[in-house]
Amino acid sequence: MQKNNFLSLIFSGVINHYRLTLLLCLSIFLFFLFFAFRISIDASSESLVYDDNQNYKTYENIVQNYQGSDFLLLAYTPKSGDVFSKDSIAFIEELLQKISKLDAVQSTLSIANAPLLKSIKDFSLQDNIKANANILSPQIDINLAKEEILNNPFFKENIISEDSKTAGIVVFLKSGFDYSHTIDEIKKIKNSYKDEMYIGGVPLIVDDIVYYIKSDLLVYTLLLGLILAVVMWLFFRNLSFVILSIVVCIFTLVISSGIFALLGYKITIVSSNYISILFVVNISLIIHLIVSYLENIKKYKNADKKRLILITALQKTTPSFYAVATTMIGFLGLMFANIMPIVHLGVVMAIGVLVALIFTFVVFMSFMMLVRIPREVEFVSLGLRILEFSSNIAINNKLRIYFVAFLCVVFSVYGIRYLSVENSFINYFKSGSEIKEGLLVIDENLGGTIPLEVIVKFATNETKDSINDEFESEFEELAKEDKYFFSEEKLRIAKKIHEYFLENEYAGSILSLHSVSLLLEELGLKPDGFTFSFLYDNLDESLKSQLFYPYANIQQDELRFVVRILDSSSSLKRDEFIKQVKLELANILESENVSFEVNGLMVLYNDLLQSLISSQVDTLLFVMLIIFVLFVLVFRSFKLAIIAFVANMIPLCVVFGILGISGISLDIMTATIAAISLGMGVDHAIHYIHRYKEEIKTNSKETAIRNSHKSIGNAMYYTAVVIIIGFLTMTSSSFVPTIYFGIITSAVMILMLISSLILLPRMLLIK
Amino acid sequence: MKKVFVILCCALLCVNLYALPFDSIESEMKARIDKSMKIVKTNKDSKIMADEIFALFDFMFDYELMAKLSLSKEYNNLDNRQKEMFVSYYKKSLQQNFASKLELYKDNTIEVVGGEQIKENRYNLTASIVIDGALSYIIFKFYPKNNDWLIYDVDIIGISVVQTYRSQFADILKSSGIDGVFDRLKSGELFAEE
Repeated sequence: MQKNNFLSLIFSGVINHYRLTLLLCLSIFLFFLFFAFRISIDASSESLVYDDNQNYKTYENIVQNYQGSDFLLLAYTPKSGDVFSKDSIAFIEELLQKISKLDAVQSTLSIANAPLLKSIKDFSLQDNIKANANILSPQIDINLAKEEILNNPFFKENIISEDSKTAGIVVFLKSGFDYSHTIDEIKKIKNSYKDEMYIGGVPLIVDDIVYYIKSDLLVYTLLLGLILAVVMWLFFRNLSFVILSIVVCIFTLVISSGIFALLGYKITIVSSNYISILFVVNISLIIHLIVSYLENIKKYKNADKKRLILITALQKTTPSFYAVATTMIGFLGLMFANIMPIVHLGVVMAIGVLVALIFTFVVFMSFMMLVRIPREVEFVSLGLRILEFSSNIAINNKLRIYFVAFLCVVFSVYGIRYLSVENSFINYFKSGSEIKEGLLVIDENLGGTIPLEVIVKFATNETKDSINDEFESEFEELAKEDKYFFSEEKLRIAKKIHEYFLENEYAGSILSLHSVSLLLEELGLKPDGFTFSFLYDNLDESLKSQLFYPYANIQQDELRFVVRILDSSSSLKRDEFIKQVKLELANILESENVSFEVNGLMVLYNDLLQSLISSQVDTLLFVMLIIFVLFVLVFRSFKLAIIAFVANMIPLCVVFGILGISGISLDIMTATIAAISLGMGVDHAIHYIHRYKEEIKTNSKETAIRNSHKSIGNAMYYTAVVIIIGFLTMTSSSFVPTIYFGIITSAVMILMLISSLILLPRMLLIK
Repeated sequence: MKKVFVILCCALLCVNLYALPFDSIESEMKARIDKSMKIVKTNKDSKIMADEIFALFDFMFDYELMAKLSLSKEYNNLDNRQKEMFVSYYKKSLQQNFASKLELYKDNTIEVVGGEQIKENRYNLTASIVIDGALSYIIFKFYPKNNDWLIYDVDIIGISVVQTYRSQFADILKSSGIDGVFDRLKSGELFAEE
């Protein structure tokens, strides 16, 4: 009672001073609008890591210790089928000239400018090296050049496909540049030719993801706004309600985005759906308020507008608060993920839905005071028949409902066992899209897409039991010189690991110190410690930076293996693959005095997904428990809490069962669905039971159910329809995780609505 | 790479029959290098040439110490018979490498540049060789033994022969023990081959 008095006082204040309230709201809106425009989008790998991730620290060390740079790959498949024809080479050369002029381009590598070491006929190796020739040099023998390029371990599957029908152009990028402009320029150059060309590489994936997120944000905001306006018009046939809904939604979106920006968070692939989610939460709140208001007009015929608004606001406070609280809990569950963008999404959405709750009520009350709502307004109950039908089913089909529910449980348990998670970049993009085609050609013909790296660290040599002898000390000191780093042991281990990856069906291009050995063999030289020491001591810096620095770090006493994994392989199970690589490398290196780490973007993204899944599984129980406690608090009944809980869990599990059986893997975006949809889906049950408890005071159970269906059922139905339409707009995206997110969440919402209208009332009839 | 082996073999050409007093290192080395270059130019069978050159230079190198240093601390674990065998195989390994590359030396000239006593008991003699127009260096590292000076290591274009062997032996020892070292020495696979 005290609470109601307190709320009544606040609400009356808002209603009585609605102009001032609206002005205050407008100021807050403008303040956050200023920051909302500053929100930025980040799809880089760095955006997806969590602070204490050891693998990310190792990754940063690798970037620091080795001279690696980002690169783009262009694939060119000439129609003539001959990449070594004069025309093809001339075409590639022209392309290189244009690309090299771009600011962020550091260097390029292709068959047109690759250094050739043994392709001048009758020249010794020294003369060949001195000649510094490439395929365009006049003295080059084209057949020798072809053979050399096809057999060079650094060129094979990098700048030439194994079937020699596709040539690759590696475009190395300078660090510290925004690649977006460069990528656009390269795309323009590529599109200015009619020949079959594709573009790929991690920077392109990142750039395209950002592009999709940006365009999705814009499209969804506009599309959702439009759909919302149409649906609200169809439901209520009153312009004021349409405007109210849009104002409330835009208000909450701007404030939440402002908070996002103020906290310094960036929108990532994971959090890009926050607009849709906020829209949906908002719509749910506003529809419940409007439906309740319209009911109250009929109920309290003589009450004035102020009184009607106050009654409506007070009536909806408790169920709306609990509905928002459960949604918040769903989002707060994301904070256990330890992954920054997920934590950010959790924080922002928890704040966002709270903002939505407060401002929906405040704006509703003051806006309603501002506009004239005719008392005879009649909302169109489009779903009346469906609601009546579902209440009849609930009341008359006890056994059938329980049997179907039982089947759903069995199905879910069976299906969930097959649920999998995968993070395939190529599958992020729609079939037929330019980026997917490019990524596929490059993945299949030019050595894979996603880098996996192995760092082998050599144990420090023991010195304590070394012979205390002047000569021995002299040679021990000598061994510390950089040029003697390339010991037989290191070369042997490099060979072992390199050959292990060569045998691996998912490994495409493999580059390591052993590639240098293979190159030396190709040149007719013995790749032993002496040769390596000699080369290291005598080669100029530019050659060293190509042959040694990317694969050996003398200061850290490490070797590095860069493997590109075939992302398009349908049988690749990334987590299993990484675990298997670790296990097999451990076996290979068992007797060696080394430690190793498997790293690279593939590991980072896999870490992210695994951490996300494990944290979701770990915290889903916690979220469920808290929601159950909230149910007990709001319904003040264990029985009702259990009923509401079961009615929500079954549809959620069914959807995951379907996913398991259909073989659709969860990815970085869809992995958050369970917590999010549980938080949003339980709102139906809260509103329904809240209403049912009112109805049961004066009616029998059956009548209470029929009445609840007619009244709150309308709001639930409208809300669900808007939510489902809202999420289905996501299917228009070109970004596959967004499409899945839309479909899966819509499916959860449909099933939760059905469950709330059939299974929930059926269980409420239990004596 | 040809250059590397030319220099390696030239270094091995400089083996002397006798140990050297400190003051005559430079002159003796020069004289014997000149003699060996003449032998190379006679176009005899490479096996015969190699034997003749080794007869000239053999005792200038302290093979036992080189072998010992190449095997590092593991050498002390060998019994006397094994030590003897090891030194013998080690020497053979060096000579085999040299003989197989003899053809490469015909058109090259080695000249003694000069020596430097880097510390009381170490003397480095530098020789130059021009291969394909490029000047390279070989450093013969001497140490005093019984009032004479012997070679315990040679740096070829900056790379120590003994250090290279140490690296190879250390790895073989780790994977297949001392037997592995003997097997590899017998097979003649060790050290740089073109």
